[in-house]
Amino acid sequence: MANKTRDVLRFTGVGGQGVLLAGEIFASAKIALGGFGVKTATYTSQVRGGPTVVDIQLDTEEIWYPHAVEGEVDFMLSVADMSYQLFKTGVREGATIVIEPNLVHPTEEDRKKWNIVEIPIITIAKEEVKLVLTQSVVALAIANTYQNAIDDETLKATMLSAVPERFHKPNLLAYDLGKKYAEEAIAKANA
Amino acid sequence: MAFNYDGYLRMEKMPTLWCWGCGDGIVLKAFVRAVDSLGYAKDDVCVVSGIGCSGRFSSYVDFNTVHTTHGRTIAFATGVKLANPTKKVVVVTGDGDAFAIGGNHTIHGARRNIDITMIVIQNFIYGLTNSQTSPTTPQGMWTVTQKIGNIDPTFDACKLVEASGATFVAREAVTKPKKLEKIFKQALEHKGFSYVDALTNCHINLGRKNKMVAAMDTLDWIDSITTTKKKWDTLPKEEQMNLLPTGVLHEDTTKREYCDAYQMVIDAHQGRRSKITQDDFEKKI
Amino acid sequence: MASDANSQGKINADGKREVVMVGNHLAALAAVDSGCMFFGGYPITPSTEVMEAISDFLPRVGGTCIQMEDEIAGIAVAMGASMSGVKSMTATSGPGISLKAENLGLCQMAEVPLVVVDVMRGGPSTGLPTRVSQGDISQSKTPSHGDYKSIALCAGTLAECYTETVRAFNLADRFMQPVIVLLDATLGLMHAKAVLPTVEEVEAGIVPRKTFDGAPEDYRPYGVGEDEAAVLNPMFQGYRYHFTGLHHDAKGFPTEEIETCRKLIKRLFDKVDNHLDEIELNEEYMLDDADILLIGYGSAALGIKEAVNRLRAEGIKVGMFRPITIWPSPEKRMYDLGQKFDKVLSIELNMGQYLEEIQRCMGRLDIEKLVKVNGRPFSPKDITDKVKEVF
Repeated sequence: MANKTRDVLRFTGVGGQGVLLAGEIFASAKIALGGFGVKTATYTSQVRGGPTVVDIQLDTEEIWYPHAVEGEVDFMLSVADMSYQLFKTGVREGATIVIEPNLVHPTEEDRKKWNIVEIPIITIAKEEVKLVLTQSVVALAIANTYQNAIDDETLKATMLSAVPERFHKPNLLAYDLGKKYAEEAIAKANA
Repeated sequence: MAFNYDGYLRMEKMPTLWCWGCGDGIVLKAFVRAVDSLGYAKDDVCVVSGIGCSGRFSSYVDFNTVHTTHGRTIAFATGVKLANPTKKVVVVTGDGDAFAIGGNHTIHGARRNIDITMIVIQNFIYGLTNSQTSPTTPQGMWTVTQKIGNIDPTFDACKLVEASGATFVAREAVTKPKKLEKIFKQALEHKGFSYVDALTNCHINLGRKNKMVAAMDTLDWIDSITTTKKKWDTLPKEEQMNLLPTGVLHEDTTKREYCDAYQMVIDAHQGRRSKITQDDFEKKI
Repeated sequence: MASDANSQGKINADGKREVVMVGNHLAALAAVDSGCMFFGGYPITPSTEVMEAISDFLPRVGGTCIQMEDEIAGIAVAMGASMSGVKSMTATSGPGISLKAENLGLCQMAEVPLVVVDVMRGGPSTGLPTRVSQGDISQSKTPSHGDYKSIALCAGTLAECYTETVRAFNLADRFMQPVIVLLDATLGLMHAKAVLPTVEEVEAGIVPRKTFDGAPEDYRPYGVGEDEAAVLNPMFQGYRYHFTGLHHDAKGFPTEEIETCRKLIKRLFDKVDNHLDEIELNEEYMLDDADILLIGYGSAALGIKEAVNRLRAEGIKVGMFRPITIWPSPEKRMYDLGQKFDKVLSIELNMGQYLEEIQRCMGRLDIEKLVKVNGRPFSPKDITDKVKEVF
């Protein structure tokens, strides 16, 4: 019985992957808009290389429980198979899961249960932005394009405030590319 | 005119609880004379001690005094000093405190080169608790936990603290009270981590089963195992091994003291200087 | 980003301060706002962010942060600074409290004010270093050997990581003893908005440590009333006295005199027990018309609150009682609640460490329990399911 005003997003990968940093930006942007945003990260004790999950909840009402409730995740993005397999069960049926197709391998059953979308997040950062660190911003844009949780301008402004000025240009490019790939994937699915 | 110690002692605590003939009193008096000759105000000095016979030292002297848990003297003293960098902080501790349970703090205090004077009242045994083995008990001696003879090798305390980064290292025995006083004075005046190995007699608990039951016997033994650094340096290796050099063994006034180093941190955070880099240090690794 | 933690946030329409940061950084910010000028510690997951933040905050205000060689030195160095008269803090997690235990005893015995932040993780031993637990509840009552009266505060929201640290500094100076602030991996590392009092409000609430300003020869640091805290002047100001972990007399010097020893320990208890009203703090959520009482604390209460909301939406009247001051426990309030409610469920991320205290206070054993010890938090669903199952 999820709250209707709430967006619940989940990012999963392995510790050390920059993609997980997108969570804080989401929460901060929602707060900047006067709402409530909570980010939690769960690591294993090995931290580097262990499965990691970042949950983001955004709401206009106060959020008490900071983690996503299992079965109530509206959108998941995953860049590591180990974490995908561990944390996919939290996603509600029919919701979208964006995966990095080179690294994550869903089963046929998964594809029936969820709307699984393949976007080469890390390749985009590496080859098109030419700055692998920007994968978190590619992921941010993809997640927001699907979930439509925050207006793009606020999210971009929050993102830039967390990034040193000399990296503003590549990160803006990363955002635009993430949005473009997500929009293309949505258009393809609707076609 | 005889020196009057009363002004520096808590006279209501006299006489001390130390055994008759114990050298700890000589350390106490030499320390008081050193402080007096340097003219420190009693309010400006903090003395920190640990557990054991040496632990009582802090309760006898009329300074700001702290009697801590076993082995943790340097850590407590570091807090007092860093919070009050202009004050004089002295640790008076024992060989068990300094090199067994608190060994880690000793080497890290030395490593930081924080401006603390550390006096180890070194009696080669756990005296207060009746003769358990210390990290400085010579091998082959009797202890109550190794009655058949101690097999554990000893630390060379002075070498240990020097290797750890102490910038003043000295050793002297209570059989040379004037020299001890002079070394305390030098140690107190040194800016940085200064270490004094103050060799003393525990005829009661080291001596009783090691054939030096009278105070003089243990003191004679201490004299027999020590020689001046000047002479020690001239001796062949096989003789050096069984003699402890006395006097100032190491002195380095070029290394940055820790409170000064921390001032760099404050200055950098408050915009009075740039970030700290490797260029700020002579030693790069 | 959380690394901007020293920003004072923005002031909202209600005149409160809004900041966005993780709980561990909030504890560090609270310390500095409370006038803390010294931090000593040793890195340990999941508390390390406290030291990471305060190592920047303190030098900015002229204070000192030092990373020591081990957990024991971490508390000892902070105690040394506090003994000299400077407000001090250390932070750690359960394994660190185990190592600091002996010095926490000295802190009690010598009446040294100190704030100890304990960000709980799964135990025993190395346990589940990055995962949440409330396994240090019993430990925080009696971390060291001997008899003394602990004060432990347990933050249950992000904002309380700040406000309880502020309160801990005030209680430490008021009662002259260590005060443990319990956070946990969930609160310490969650990133969200916290609404805080302003710096001015925090400063206005600070009551400085008592000092004696008479003639030094009349000074009796431990010679105070039978339920009063020691009056320990700062060092280097003309009042030379002695700190010791031994039983001691009015001037702080070791003694084994029978009555002095008895009175000292009794005073360490009475100084807390006779002033519980200054220490107790609880939250009561939707209790007035409730039929079912849920008791929980710390981050578990976040799941409980959400569960209360969900159950009420289904027409099940539940409410929550949350002790914020864990030790001493809210004995009288829990007794009253035990009389009022038939249906009581205790919810803890341990095997029931506080349940025993609840049973004692309520004087009854028929309390349902929901426990979890696998490093995972309680989700609201765990709680709603349990309520429906047992009541």
